[in-house]
Amino acid sequence: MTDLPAKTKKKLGLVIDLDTCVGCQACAVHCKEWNVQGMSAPLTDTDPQGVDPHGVWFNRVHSYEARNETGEHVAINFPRSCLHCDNAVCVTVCPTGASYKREEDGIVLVNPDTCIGCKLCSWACPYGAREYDAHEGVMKKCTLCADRIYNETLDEADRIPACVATCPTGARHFGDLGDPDSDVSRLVRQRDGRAPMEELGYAPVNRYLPPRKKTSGVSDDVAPDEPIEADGFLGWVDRVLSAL
Amino acid sequence: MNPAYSVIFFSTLSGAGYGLLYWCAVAALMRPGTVSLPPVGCALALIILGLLSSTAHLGHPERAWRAFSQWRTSWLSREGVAAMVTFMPMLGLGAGIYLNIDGLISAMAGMAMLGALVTVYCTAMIYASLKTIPQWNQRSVPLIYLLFSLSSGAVLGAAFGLMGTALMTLLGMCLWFASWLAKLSYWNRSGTLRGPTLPDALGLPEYRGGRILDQAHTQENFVQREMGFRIARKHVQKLRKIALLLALLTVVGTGITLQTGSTWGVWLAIPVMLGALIMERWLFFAEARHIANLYYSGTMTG
Repeated sequence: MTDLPAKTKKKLGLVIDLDTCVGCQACAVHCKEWNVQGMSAPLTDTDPQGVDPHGVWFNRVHSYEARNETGEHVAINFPRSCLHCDNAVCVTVCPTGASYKREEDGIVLVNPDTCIGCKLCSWACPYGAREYDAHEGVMKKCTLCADRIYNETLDEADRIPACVATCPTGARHFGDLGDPDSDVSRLVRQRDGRAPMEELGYAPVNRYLPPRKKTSGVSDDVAPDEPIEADGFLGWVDRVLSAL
Repeated sequence: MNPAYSVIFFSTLSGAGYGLLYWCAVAALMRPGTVSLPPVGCALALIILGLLSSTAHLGHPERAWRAFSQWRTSWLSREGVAAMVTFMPMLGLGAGIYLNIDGLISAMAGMAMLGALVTVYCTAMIYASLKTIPQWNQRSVPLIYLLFSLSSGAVLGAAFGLMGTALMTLLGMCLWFASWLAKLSYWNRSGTLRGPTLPDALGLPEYRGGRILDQAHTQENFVQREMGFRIARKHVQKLRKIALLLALLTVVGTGITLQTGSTWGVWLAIPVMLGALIMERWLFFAEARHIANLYYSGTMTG
């Protein structure tokens, strides 16, 4: 049933550090590489070697520029994937029960054998996390590498999502966000982890760590008539010109 | 949002069908002599045509039966269940009229009216319940769907002479005006809605500005094609005017019937009305902006 579990035993999810992410796309590529042969396979591409390739990916890495609260320009690399929401509306809108949230670990999944491909779940997701596989006629989404994290044929160190395993800057963390003593929960507390657009009420499990405060305080928000605090000759020039 | 033609045909055709069913049932209760089998059959045909059309946008139409299972949480599932349940009083009403059994007619008419309204309401709530699309997430959306269903059903009913042609035509015209007034108010409001900004979407609401440095991928993906439909926004004012023109031409047709008492005016108005309905529904989808567009265009309005 598409009823959400009242409470999940664990809240497995990702914590993504926007301060250290360099936007290299390695997580997106490894995600595609693993999942093209994993439980959601095939992750269909159309015209993959041609001039107009399209395909299903679970992870998309965006790059933006914005100004922080002190006016500094900040580049933000933003990896975007399913946030495995506690209030996963993509699940409750599903007419067939193909979309579900697991009671044991909170992972949101799609059953490809019962999905009718109506796409309503993708409409319900504010994060654009679900992508439709037109070739298979079903919806696909991040599985949090459910076929890796419990996979006993892998070394224990490798039982983490592919995106986390591959991140060269250590910007991606995986763990139980329902356990206040887990490493990821501590990280969220220390670094003021954020849930995007929390006001919509989807209660995302994943968290993003905001860029750290800059120490230099360099900003180009300079009022033209206020003297810049500088000593020596240039300071004198600035004071004279500002006074004119 | 990308306007899927199958969904547009479904919601306009079956919407008109449920409206016609509603007025058939009203007429069967109030003026039984004016109801015959053809209008009930027409309602049935429109509803079946619409429902069949709606399965065309599915990736797996052969699994559509599964959609009846999740009525506890899903408006789409509720719509399917309501549509199936309504077939019973609809067929019962038809049988009652054909066999001239008053008891059957009065037993089925009330259920048919309720079933028609509930089904159209469920359809509207599929859209109105989505917080991800601010234009749709309004209380007026179910009202607009119900008004368009009842008004188009009334104009169809007038052509069949339900309740007497003059009365039904007048009712249809009034409801048609009310539908478009509600639509104009929806259009007005949808320009002023405020949603989240790009910094909100990044979880950094204290940040200002926000622009795209580099697109996440070179080719458009599903999210951009499904949620970021551009044609309608480019021509939105013109398309709205065309829809309103078709709506006015519909009134001219019904006006002729009202003046002359002959139903040919209404019959002429029906194809124009269907054009206006399809235009209205196409714009409903094409103009709607999904929050996920923030990640790709940095804004909800542009």
